[in-house]
Amino acid sequence: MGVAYLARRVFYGLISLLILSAIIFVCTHLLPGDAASAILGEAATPEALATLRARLGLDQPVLLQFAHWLGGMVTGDFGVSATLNQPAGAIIAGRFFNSLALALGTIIVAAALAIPLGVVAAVKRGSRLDGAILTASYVGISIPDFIIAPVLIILLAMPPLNLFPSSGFVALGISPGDWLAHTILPVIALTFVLTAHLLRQTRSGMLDVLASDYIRTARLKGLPESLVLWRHGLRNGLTTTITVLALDIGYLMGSIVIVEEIFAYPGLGRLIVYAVANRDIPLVQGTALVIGAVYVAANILADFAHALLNPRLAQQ
Amino acid sequence: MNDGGRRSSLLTRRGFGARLLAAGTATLVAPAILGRRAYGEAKPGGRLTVALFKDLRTLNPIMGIFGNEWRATCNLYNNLTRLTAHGGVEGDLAESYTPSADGMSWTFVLRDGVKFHDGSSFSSADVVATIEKILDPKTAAPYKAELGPIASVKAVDKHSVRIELSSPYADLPKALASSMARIVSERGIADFAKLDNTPYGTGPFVLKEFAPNDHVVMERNPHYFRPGRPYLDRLVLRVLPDTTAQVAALENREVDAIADVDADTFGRLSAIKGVKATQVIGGTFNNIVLYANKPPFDDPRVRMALRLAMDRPQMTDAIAGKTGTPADDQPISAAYEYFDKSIPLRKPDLAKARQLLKAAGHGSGFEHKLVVSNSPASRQKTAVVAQAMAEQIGIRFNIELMDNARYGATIWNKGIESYVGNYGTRPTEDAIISKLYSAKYGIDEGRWAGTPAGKQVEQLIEQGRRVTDSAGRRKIYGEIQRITRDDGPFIIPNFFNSLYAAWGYVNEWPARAINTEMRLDDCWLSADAPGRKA
Repeated sequence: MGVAYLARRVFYGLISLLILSAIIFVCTHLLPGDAASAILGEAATPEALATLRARLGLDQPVLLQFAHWLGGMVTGDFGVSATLNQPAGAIIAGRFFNSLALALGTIIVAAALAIPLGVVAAVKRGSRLDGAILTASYVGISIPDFIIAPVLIILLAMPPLNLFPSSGFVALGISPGDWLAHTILPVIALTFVLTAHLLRQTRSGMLDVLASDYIRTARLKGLPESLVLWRHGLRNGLTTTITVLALDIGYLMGSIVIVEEIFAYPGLGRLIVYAVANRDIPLVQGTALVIGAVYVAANILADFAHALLNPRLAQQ
Repeated sequence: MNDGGRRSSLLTRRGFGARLLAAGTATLVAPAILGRRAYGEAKPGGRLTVALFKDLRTLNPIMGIFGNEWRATCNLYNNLTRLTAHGGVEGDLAESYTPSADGMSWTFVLRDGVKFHDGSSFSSADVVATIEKILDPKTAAPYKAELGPIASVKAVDKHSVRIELSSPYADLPKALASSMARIVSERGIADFAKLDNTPYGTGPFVLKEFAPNDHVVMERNPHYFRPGRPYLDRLVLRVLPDTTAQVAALENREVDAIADVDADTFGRLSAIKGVKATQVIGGTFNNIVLYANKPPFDDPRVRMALRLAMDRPQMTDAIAGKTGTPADDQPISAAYEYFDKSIPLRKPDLAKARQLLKAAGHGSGFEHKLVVSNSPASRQKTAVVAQAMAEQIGIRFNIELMDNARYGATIWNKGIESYVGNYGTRPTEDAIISKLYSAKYGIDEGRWAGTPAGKQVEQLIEQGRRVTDSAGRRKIYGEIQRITRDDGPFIIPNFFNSLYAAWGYVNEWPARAINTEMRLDDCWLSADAPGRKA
C-alpha cells in the first residue's frame, strides 16, 4: 500500500466524479423547465423567458454550457447560482460544513453505540440480550426518518420536556452552546437507522469471525477471552462494519435531505432539494459533486482502514 | 371553531363587522387588530421572530415571485402607495396623487425629507428609475403587466412625478401598492444584480443578515419617515418548511408568530392557549382550467353541466377545512371592493347537469385528463374533490400529479391539458380579471376571450379601467362577475382565507387579505413577550 496505490485510487475517484457531473448535467437538462421558468413562475411570458435565458446563458448549446462549467471547476470556480445570484461555491461551502457536522456527529454516535452492542449480541448469540438488541435494531431500521424527526420534536422539544430547540440553526462561531443544542435532535434522528444498520452488520461480521478456525486456535492456546474477542475477533469483524459504514455515507446523505428539511437545518440536503426544484444548475452540479466527493473519499478511507486492520489486504 | 378555549376569528377587510363569520370570541379579537387601538399604549422595543413557510430566495422586490420575498421586502422598502386594512389605498412615499381630466396621466407628489438606508435622499429620480426598470423588457420582471398600461414616467420636479398612460387606468394608485412596485433608490437600480442580497430602500427596517431560504435579520431604521415607527428593535424572519416544527417553535415561543399557516395546522394552533389564530377572508384560489377552444369544454353547456355538479360549501370544507369561503367559478372574493354579494351561490343540480351533458352529446359522460402540480398541496385536494363531484354526472377526471417545475414548463398556460392553477389575492379587481380573461392585457388562461361572452368581458375590462366613479365601477365589475360565473372557462370551488397565528403579546399584526403585505411598522410587543427579555 504505497503512494502509487493512493494516487491511483484518487485518480479513479476523480474520473468517477467527472462522469457523475456529466450525468447530472444531462439529467438536469432532460428535466422539463429551467432556472428561467423557475424564477418567473406563473408569471412567465415568452419574452421574459427569452430575456432571462439569455442573461443566464441558458440559450447556449448544452455542451458549451457543460464545457464552461467544467472550465470553471478546474480553477475552483463553482459558478454563480442562477436563482440566488450568489457564488455557488460560497453557498455550498457553508452548507457543507453544517451537514458535515451532522454526518460526523451521527457516525461517531452510531459507531459508539453499534459496535459494542453488535459485539455483545454476537458473543451472547441466542440469549435474551441478543434478542432484545436485535428487536430494537429492527424497530430502528423500520421507522423512516420522516416519522422519527417529528416524533423527536414532539417528545423532546415540546412541553413538558422541552429539552432542545425544535428547529433551526445557530452558527458555531456565534454560540457553541446554541450550536450544539440545535445539532442534537437532527443527529439523534439520523443516528436511529444508521445505528441499527451498523449494529446488524457488526453482529453478523463478528459471528463469522467467531466461528473461524483462528479464533478456535486462539482459545485453544489459552488466551484470555477478552483478548480473543477484542484483539483477534473485533479486528477482523470490523472490516465488514467499515465497508458498510462507507457505503452508508450515501444512505446518510439521503436521510440528511429529509431530516434537514424537517429541522429547518441549513445544510447540503436542503440545498440540493431547493436546487433541483428550481433547476439551479450551478447549485445542483456543485452540491452533487461535493456529495459525490465525500462518498468517494469515504470509500478510499475505508480501504485504508481495512489495510490497517488487516495488513494482508495491502499486499494484494 | 366554536370551542370556547380557542381564540380564532375571521376578518374581512371590507365591512368586517358584518362578516365576522366565526363565533363568539371573534369580536374580542377583531377590534384589537383592525380597530384603532390607542397608540399611546404601544411600547417600543423588543425582538419579533416570525416563522415563514417555503422559499425566500431573493430580496430583489422587482424579481420576487414568492410570498415570503414580499413579506421581507415590505419591511425593507416602501411603495408610492399602500393598501389599507379595509381594502382602500393611501399614500406611502407619495403624499398625494391626482389623475388628469382625461384620465391619461397621474401626478404623484412625493413625501419630503425621506432617506434611504444608505443615507441618500429620496426624490423623483428614484421613482422614475424604479418604474422604468420594471417596465424595461430586458429586466424580465415577472409581474410587469400588473402595473397597468404605463407609457412613461417623468420627474416633474424633485418631489413630483407624472405617470403617462397608454389608456386610462383608474386603478393606478392601487396597482402601485403591488408587492413588486417597491421604490428602489436610483443607485440600487444601477446596481441591479446586488438587489438580491442588498436592499436599497426606505423601509421601517434595515437589513442585518440574509441567508437565502433560511433567515432574514432586520433592525429598526432610526431614520424611518413615520414618526415613532417602527416599534420593534429587531425583526427576524425564519423559514420553517415543516409544519410540526412550526407548531413546536410557536408553542415553545422560539417564534412569536407564523405568517402563513396552512389549513390543516390552523386548528392545532388555535387550540394552543394564549395563541391568537386569525383568518381574514382572502382572494387566493385554485382554478380548474377548462379550455374553451377545444372539445369537450368548448361547449358552454358542458362547462355549465360541470358547474352544476359542484357542491361548493361541501367542497370548501373538504379542501380548506374551516378556513375557506365557497366560490362561484369567478375570481373576485369578498376581499375585493367590488365583490357583488347579490349574486347567489350556485346550488348543485345533478338532473339538470345530466340533461345538459346529454344535449351536448355526452349522454354517457367522458374521460378527461387533469394535471396537478405538487405545490402548493391544496391543488391536489382541489383536483380530487372536483373529481368526486364530477363523477356524479359521468365526467371522469384522470388526475396526473406532476413536479411543480415540470408543470410550470410544460402544462401551465400551454393550451394543451386541463390543470389546476393557483392565484394569490391582487390589489385590484382588474389585476386578476385582466390577467385571467383578457387576451390584450393578460394571458387569457382559458382561451375564452374569443367567445361571445369572452369578447363582452374584454370590453367590460376596458371600460372598468376608464371609469373612475365608484358606482359605475361597481356595476362593471358586478357584470364581469356574473358573466364569468355563468360562462367562464374555470371551476373555482372556493377561496382560501389568509391565515396567521401569533401569541397574544404580539399587537397590531397587519391582518390583510393580501397576507404577503406583512409590514410590521405598527406592530409592538406587550411586556410579557419573550423578545423583550432577550
